[in-house]
Amino acid sequence: MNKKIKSLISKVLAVSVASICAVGTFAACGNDVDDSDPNQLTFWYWGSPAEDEVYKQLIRQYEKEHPGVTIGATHYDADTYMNKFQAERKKPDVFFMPDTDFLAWADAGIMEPLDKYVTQAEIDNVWDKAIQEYRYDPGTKTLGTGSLYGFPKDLGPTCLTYNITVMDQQINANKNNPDCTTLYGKTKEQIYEQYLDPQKPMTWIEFRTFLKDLTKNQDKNSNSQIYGIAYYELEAALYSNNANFFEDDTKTQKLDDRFIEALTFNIQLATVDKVMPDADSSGSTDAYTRFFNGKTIFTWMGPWNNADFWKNPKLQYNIIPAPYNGEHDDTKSVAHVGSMCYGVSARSKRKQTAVDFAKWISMSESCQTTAMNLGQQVPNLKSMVQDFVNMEKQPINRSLFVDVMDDTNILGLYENAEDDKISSKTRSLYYTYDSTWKDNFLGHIGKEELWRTADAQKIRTTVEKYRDRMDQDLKTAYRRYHR
Amino acid sequence: MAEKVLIKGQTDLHKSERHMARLFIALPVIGFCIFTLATLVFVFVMSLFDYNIYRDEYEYIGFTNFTDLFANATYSDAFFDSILNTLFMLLGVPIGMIVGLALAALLQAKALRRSSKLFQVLFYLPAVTSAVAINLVFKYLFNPDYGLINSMLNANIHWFSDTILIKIAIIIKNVWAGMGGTMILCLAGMLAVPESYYEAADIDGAGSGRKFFSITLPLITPTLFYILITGVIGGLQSYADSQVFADGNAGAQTIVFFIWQYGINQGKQGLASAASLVLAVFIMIVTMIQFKVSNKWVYEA
Repeated sequence: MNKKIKSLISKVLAVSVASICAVGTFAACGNDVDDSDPNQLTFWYWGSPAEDEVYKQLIRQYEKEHPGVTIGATHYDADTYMNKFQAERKKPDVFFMPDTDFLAWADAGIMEPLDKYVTQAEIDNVWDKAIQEYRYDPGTKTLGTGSLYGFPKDLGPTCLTYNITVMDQQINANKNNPDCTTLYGKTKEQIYEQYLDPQKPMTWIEFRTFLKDLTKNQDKNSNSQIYGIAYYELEAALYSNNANFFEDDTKTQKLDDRFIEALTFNIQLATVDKVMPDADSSGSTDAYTRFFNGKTIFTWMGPWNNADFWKNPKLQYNIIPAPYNGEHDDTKSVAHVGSMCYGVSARSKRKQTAVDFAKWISMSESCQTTAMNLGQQVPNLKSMVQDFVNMEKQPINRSLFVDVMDDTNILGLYENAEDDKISSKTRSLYYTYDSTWKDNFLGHIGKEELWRTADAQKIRTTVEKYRDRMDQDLKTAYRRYHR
Repeated sequence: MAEKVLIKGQTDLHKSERHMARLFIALPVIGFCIFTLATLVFVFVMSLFDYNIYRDEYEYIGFTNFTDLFANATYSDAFFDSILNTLFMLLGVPIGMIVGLALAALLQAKALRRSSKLFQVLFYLPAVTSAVAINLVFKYLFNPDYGLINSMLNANIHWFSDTILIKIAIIIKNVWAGMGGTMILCLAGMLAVPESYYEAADIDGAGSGRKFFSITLPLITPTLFYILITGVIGGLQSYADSQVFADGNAGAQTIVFFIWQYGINQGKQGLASAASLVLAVFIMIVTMIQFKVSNKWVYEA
């Protein structure tokens, strides 16, 4: 009996240990790709369900065009992707790398330098900003120069989008009110021409007045009111006032008057003009939910949002450039660009196959056409720009996406390139090694309840007092980078 | 001879029983060694290094991670805030105990005893509900735009943007989520109180209030002590409140959220390990104090 029990327990233990080992082994595998097969690749990406569908379709297309190659693709949601990527010791062969994390991973030697895999002609056909963004020189630790460490996934120019139905409804509701100076006595066409011109960005003052007029009939104390804008991108405000968090060397804070003006403009849209949900409401309801439900006239969008927007057949929308501070002579409309690249693992055992796939998905006309038609992006290839502009899809002002990302007047929209007052700049986190400085800054102004104050002096004092702290945070970030 | 054989047989039996016992104990001991002891040692070692997750490099930096936590404003501000937030939210533990105890006392009342089982099930439901689900539901309830709570109060309370109100919202949620478990434990404690004590009190003419405060409450203090200890430890380790309910809102970041944010989200595992150790020591000290103080209020038969 004892022997039987012992034997039983031994078997249970053996099975348990074997199971644990097996689970460990399977967990380590990640997905069903044979490591020794040069034609089987692992690929990690993220995106909304609509973007996921786009990628599934692109992968099917690649496998069809390249018989014998299999892509073991893994989709994560945007919130967890980088955590998973950090934790995975064996990096996937090809992966998404957001601009905000590019510096750290390129510097770490995880990403394969790609120059030798592309010709100059291929590079020349891609948007300059997109290529520049993924160059890095580890020797001098400089961005924008050195080897190319990623093929651009896209360059995501952000624009203000407006819900045409809600816009028309609010124009009609307020145009007979003599207090609404931007609407009163004007036809709808005149209003559109004056304020919604894709090549003539509004100044901040015009924008604030326009939004106040459009929402004049709303009960500003009601939770169900229609807002002028769902939220405002701080970086669009900073860049459009020639301001930034830090100096060009990215090591010293630049919380100067321009910065304070931009932050004040951003905050007061909610607290003074009441055309934007306050911090409480904006955090509680997703901007796109508000936009789709007709509870805001404006919000922000990039080309990748088209995939989702097109799924809503009732939604009529268009885009305009980010407003700028017209009080200064040196300012223009500068939106932030969100971007990502396709990186190839420097440790990949099938580098050539991985590079071929990354290059195809980034630079091939076939793939870019599919991605463009599915509403995923502006094509990376300059040679396809007219195809994008000529698409018979919303938004009608789609050439603005190109205008925001291109400073060479490629579409000939302006008589001279200097007349182009619409541009873009990479997000601030792209330039720094870690994000603690920004988390701390946003946490601090949240703690000081700046998002709820109408008092411009309080905003100024809080930011001015924070300068030393920002310097220290940037210094701490660099401590690790240069170690 | 027969006696000898019997003794030998007993000895063999004892031996094999001991082996069996060791086998049964082995699994949890191995589990403890791997998942607790080894982890603790590993965390301590990690706290002495700056592990750069990007470069996969370890650099020995001594106690810099600890000094960063307490003296470098880049990290210490957020760390101290997370400690204060966690301590503030611990207020939910005594409040939850009072509510759970009150519910248990109500269900023990003669008038409610018939329907007591139904109420026990109803009140216990939150305890068997997923913490994430509770957080999500309460997030909707407290939503300033369309939440039930603001609608009922006919007010526009900024639950999520006010650093104090968000903690109060979390306390309300946690009290609701924990009251069922507390109630069941208190009820079990109350049922263990001998009926004869109450009979004697009845003879002495004691009212129900007097009986509760002089008999029930003192006799269930061991249960309350258990609830307090586990509640405080659970509260110090709370994470879902910050992540799911508050979406990382600075006003509701707990110590464990701090550890997650820096260890997982920002790749500063050395700093997160140091914070974990500080938390472990803090929990140990708080628990020891509670045990020490328990001599003064916990009834031991």
